[in-house]
Amino acid sequence: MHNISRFKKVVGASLTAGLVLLSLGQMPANAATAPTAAQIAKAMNTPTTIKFWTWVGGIDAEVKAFNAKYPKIKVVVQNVGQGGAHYQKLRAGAASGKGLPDVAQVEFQYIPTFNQIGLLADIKPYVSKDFNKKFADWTISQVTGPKGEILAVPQDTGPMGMLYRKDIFTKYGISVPKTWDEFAAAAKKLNAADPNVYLTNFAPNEAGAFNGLAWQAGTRPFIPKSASNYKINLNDAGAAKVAKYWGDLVTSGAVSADPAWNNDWYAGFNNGKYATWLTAAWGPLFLAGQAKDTSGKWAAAPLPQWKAGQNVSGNWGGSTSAVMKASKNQIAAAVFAEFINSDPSSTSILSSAPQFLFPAATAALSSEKFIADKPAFFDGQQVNKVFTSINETVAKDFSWSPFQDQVYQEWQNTVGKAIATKGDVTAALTALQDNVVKYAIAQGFTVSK
Amino acid sequence: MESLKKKTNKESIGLLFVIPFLVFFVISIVAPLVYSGYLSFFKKRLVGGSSFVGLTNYVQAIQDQEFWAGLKRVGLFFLMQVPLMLLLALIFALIIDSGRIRFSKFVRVLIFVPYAVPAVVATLMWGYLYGPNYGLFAQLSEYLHTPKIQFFSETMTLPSIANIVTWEFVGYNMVILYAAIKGFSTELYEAAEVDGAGSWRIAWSIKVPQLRPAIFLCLIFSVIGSFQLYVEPTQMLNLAPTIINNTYTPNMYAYNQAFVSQDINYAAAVSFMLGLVVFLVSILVTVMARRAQQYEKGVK
Repeated sequence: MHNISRFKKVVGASLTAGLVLLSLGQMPANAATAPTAAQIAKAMNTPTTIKFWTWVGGIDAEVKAFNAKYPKIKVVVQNVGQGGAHYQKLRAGAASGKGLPDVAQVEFQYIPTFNQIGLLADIKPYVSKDFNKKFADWTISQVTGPKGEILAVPQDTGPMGMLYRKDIFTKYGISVPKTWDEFAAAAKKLNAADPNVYLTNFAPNEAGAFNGLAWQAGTRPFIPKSASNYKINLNDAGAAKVAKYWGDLVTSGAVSADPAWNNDWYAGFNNGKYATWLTAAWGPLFLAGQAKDTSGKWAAAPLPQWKAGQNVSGNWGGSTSAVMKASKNQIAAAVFAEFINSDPSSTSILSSAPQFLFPAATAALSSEKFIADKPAFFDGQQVNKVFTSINETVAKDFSWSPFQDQVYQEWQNTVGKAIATKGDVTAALTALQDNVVKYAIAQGFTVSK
Repeated sequence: MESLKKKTNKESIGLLFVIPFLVFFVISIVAPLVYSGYLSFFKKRLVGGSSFVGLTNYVQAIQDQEFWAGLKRVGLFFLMQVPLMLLLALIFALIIDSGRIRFSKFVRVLIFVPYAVPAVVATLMWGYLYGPNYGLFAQLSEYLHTPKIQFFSETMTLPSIANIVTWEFVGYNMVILYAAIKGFSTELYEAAEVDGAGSWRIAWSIKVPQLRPAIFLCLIFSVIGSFQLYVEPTQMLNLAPTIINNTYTPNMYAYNQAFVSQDINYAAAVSFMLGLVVFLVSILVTVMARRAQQYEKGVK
């Protein structure tokens, strides 16, 4: 008897302790009331170690800048793979509830996907009061959750513009197209004059680029009504316009449809097969690395517009730093994420060699040094300045699906395939819509038109 | 009594030797298999969580045309690639064994070296050579004014992959066959020589028939390898993105179901179906090999 009651006591005590621990562990996640400034200051002055997963190379420099202000917080940086490999580890962590970092890099396009599986913490209570002013407007709408949470800190972005070969344009008497109509006419003119040169290449394996162009044209494919109810409109007027436009151009043969991100494609830029690249703000530097033989011949301009006189763009790519809900040090993690992406001592590193990211922080975008940069590859043009003003024209209210990997894969199998085979791109867009709706319903969502 | 004790002692010592293997076997093979099997009876959704669904995933897999299309594709790949590869391996093994060529050790290493190249690297390298505009073969065709071969066209993509796989594994199979030949007793060769057989005759009538078990071993390895084709086509996604897609091979399909569509349960079911097919094909190959042998014995 004695033994049993003792056993009960021990078990009871450890159970209670466990429950207390459990509730303590959940505290940061449930924090309804924001910690006071003093509490945050105290947290930042307590020796803490946080883990940070990112594939941005050399980010130790930013961590150093952070530690100059917060020496008590130790940041362990880990590169667990780029893109897919990195996300898989996040998913595994989410599934097992173990092994997650405190802060992780998450691209804008995957924020709703990871929010859906409950990975991201709401850091609104921990970030500074003027958080929203620190970043470009449209990026704030990207990191804001359906309930007004702040789910991540914008790091870098990819507002879309047009890089073009000045020499080829001059040679064939083409002026920089201001509208998509002018662009199509120029494409036909150029390819007729020299069948080996294309005004641009429309890659059948780059859903992100298509998405950015459709974003410009006004598509709003996913509108969340609630956590489990979405309005899905992948073939709305904006997307349909873009699909028809590029379908026609590719079918006519005036624009090539080579797959991107392989040697042949890189060589195409280097050998003058493609006269423009419709790309994001991170594109200029990437191109300078791949098409060295054409240095000095390129220039940057905004995207052509659907209506003359308009000035709208879309975004392709870019990342954030997100705090994990499972983190036990959410305050330190959130302050760190905000600091490296907005403090000038850190963003000046982000936006210059060798990282060369196009920053999301407004202070970094307006910094003299950043705007004054005149790369030789673009014949001394202030390319950053061009993209900084494009950045202000990115439409604000675009949102992503809660299962973006699947959407991109379906895009590849429908729209991408139609582009590569010169098929009916408009019909393919309808198939994309149908397949994604089917998937959403199978996953338990309700879909409203 | 004593002898019985001895016997049990002996048995337990044997068990002792096997335990290290058994532990790792259970942890890394049996446990994941059992867990996958368990998972395959559930369905987890993004909204609504996980629920037991019985055999639904298997029923879905049996009716899944994309799964069967992938299976058919790797079946075709097996029929196209394996005979060629094994024939080449056999020829190389016989040539090197004949001692008729110079630097035979060097040649042996040269043929084997591709096996040491990681499949990812091999595919990148071949992908570069295959490039439709600026690849080596395309440039050669341009130089010679012959039509360019479109390695990533609808019909050529599978042969292009088969070529890479053959390049990678011909040396591996050659080494197995060569090692087998080295194990044969040379008395028969001498006897045949005395009877006036040339080296061709010796190769065909003495070496090849004895090589049968080794060839059979290579064949079984190849069945498994072919049906699990994954690395090469995955690495070629950016080269032929609309021909090689997420359902190109059953393994790619299972991977995509798990990690793109987030349907780990269905992926588990597809993997088990694939395992079953590989098992059945292996048995089929074994039975056919036995039949062939018995038939020949009967003829003699």
